[in-house]
Amino acid sequence: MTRILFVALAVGLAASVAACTPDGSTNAAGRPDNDAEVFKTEMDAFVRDTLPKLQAQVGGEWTGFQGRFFEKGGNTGQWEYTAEGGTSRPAGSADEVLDKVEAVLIEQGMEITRPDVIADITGRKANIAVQVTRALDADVESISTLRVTFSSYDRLKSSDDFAENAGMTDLLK
Amino acid sequence: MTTTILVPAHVPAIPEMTATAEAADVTTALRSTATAMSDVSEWMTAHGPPADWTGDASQAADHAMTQVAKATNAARAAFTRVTTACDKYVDRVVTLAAVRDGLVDDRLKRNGQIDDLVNRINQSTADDIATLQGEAQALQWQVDHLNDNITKFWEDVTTAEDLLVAAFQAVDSTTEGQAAADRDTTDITALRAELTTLGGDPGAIHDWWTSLSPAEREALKISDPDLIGNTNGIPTGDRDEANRTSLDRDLDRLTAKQDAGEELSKEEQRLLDRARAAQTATGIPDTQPLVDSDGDGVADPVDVNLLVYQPGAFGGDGAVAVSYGDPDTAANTAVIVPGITNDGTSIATQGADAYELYKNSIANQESAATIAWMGYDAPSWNPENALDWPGDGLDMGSVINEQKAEAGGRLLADFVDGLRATDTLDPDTGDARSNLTVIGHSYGSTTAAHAAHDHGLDADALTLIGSPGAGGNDVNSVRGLGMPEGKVYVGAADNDFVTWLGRDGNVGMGQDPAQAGFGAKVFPVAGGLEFHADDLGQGVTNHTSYFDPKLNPESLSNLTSIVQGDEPTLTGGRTQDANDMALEWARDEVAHQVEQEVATTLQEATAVYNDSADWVGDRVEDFKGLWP
Repeated sequence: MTRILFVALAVGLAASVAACTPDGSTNAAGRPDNDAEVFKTEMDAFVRDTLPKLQAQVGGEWTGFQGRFFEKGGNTGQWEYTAEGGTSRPAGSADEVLDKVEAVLIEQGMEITRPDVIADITGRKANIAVQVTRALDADVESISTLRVTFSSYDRLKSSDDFAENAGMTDLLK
Repeated sequence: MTTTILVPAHVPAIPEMTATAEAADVTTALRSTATAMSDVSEWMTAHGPPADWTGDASQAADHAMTQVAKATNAARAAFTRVTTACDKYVDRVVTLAAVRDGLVDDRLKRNGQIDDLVNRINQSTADDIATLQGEAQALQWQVDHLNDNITKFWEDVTTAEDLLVAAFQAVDSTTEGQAAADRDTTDITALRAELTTLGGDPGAIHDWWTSLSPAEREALKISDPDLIGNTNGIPTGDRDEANRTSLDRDLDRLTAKQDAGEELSKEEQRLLDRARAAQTATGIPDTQPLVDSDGDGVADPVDVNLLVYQPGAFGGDGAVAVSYGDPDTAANTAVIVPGITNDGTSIATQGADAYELYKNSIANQESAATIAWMGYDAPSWNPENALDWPGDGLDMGSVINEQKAEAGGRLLADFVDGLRATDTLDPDTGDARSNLTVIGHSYGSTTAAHAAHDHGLDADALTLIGSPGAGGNDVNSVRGLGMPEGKVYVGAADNDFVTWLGRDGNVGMGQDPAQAGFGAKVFPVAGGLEFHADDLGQGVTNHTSYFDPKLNPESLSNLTSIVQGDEPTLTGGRTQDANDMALEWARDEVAHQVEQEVATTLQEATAVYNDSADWVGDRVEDFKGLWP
């Protein structure tokens, strides 16, 4: 039974991979007809709008935020679009800095949680997710580095070709 | 009365060095060129004119080939010299950059002390004068000492640059290149033979390698980058340099061919795809840089090492391994073994997971190296032969047996032995061994279990996630894996269908290691969303989220703890048999599909009834029109 089921699931997996067909077409309204391209447009605009506000509130020199697609788990046809960067030694205590970040994200329409594993702040607006993680200085009062990651929450599944060939987008500029 | 206290002047800012460790890219390019010259020279030396050429034509061709071989060997010698010099220069730049960092810190400290002293002088009384004068003198001495060190630092920078320039000038003519070739007594053939006689023993290979002169090591990296880059026991830095040379060679050759408008063969295109995937994997930290923690305007560096690069291995699937961090010096090392659907083209995907684990493992200044090891022939997906299932085309048919896991287990154990052999002594603790964890995912967990059971995997901990079975007929409990007591960890999402496949008995891929009775330490992970047969994509998501900080933060957090040598959060193992979970899903799925079918049929019947009723109504209206 295990063998039969596994074969079925393996074929299903292969089929789900195969189902992620190349797609660079547009729909009747002239909009991109694949979820990766649609999502990238939405997230790029959101990040470009949000980053200056974070920079203004938190201060410091910000680096990173190259938007790019990664296939998840192997040749699965499931993609994540992500852009990550951050700053170091922001002024204020750790709590003050995180509060400022949270305020900006809420203003941007995100639903925020403060988990106690991996990230200090997580947020979500539709399929756009954000994770904020800080490393502490030895005095555990101030932050040594603040890392912010924007990405797709659910996997993007219908646009292998677009995701594979999208290259990088500098979202700090 | 006015008293003058001489306070030292502020130490001026120390400019950035012009060169950075990225100069290593130049070294790689020089080494690649030397390898190309070496290949041409060796080929010309080993071959003569075509056999059917005779007389003057044959003699002329033979003479010409000898001359080309000689000239390219001279160029090879010249490039070898400058590659060695450039390598030393990069090492020196790294050292000098660290010296500069120390001087910058010292400068900030002394200038702060100067400001503090000036403040105290401005608020002082006559009673303080003697003390303050003493402090000013002491501070002057410290500032003078710092200025001397800064002067010495710039002298050292100049010396390093002069040595590099001199090395280039020493071989910048044909005559000088030929002279370098004449002086080069390195016997590459003998060195290759010595390596062969060591029989793949990583410890012996490491001892042999470190006994060679720098020139011999460089000559081997240039003449045989594929061999040196993929031999367990060669230090990480040298493997990386050799493999990047091979990678550069492949990318240069194939892209040049494309640029010239020539069509690549299928094999060449596959090789180029794998080369580009390796390039992408090594460049992940460039696209997701660490934060600039010391505020010098540059992101914190990540030491990325290409530990395996064999794009043609396993019938073209390719073997690649990329390390984020240096396992030879890291306090904690993790080797991630991927499973189904992976081959050389997916190394960037695996690299992204390894890099995620790396970032978390170093979050509070710990030292770590995480390796995406695609060093075995996992059952993969070959779209070119999609209809050839279950033969070797689709390659998924082999998921249902363990042959590839068994073969991969040996390769994994050898790779880990290589890491152990090149591990260097920690100068702080005196400990020679990195805390080394192997993390097997999916079919990779079966591979890792075989490495443990069949080959005595020399790791400190073994972690199995999303496992279809802990490998083999002889592994009935955690003891069968032969790992240190309490050092086998398991993570299994409830809705990860692959984890429903482990079973009792002697078929399948071994027992479900998440069972409470198996005896491993089971850590909690997110269960994943329920899925149906018409949405297996969600099942795939559940199976591939163990490193995902959004979808499975519990898993990533626990994996990070294990890599750091700490205990993860633990939960009880499964009490429901894995196969029962599969059967339960199948039963529920049948019910779900029947309900769906009934609902759909009802909807369709209702639609047909409504359409019919409309049609009848229309006809009645029509007939009414006939009888006024």
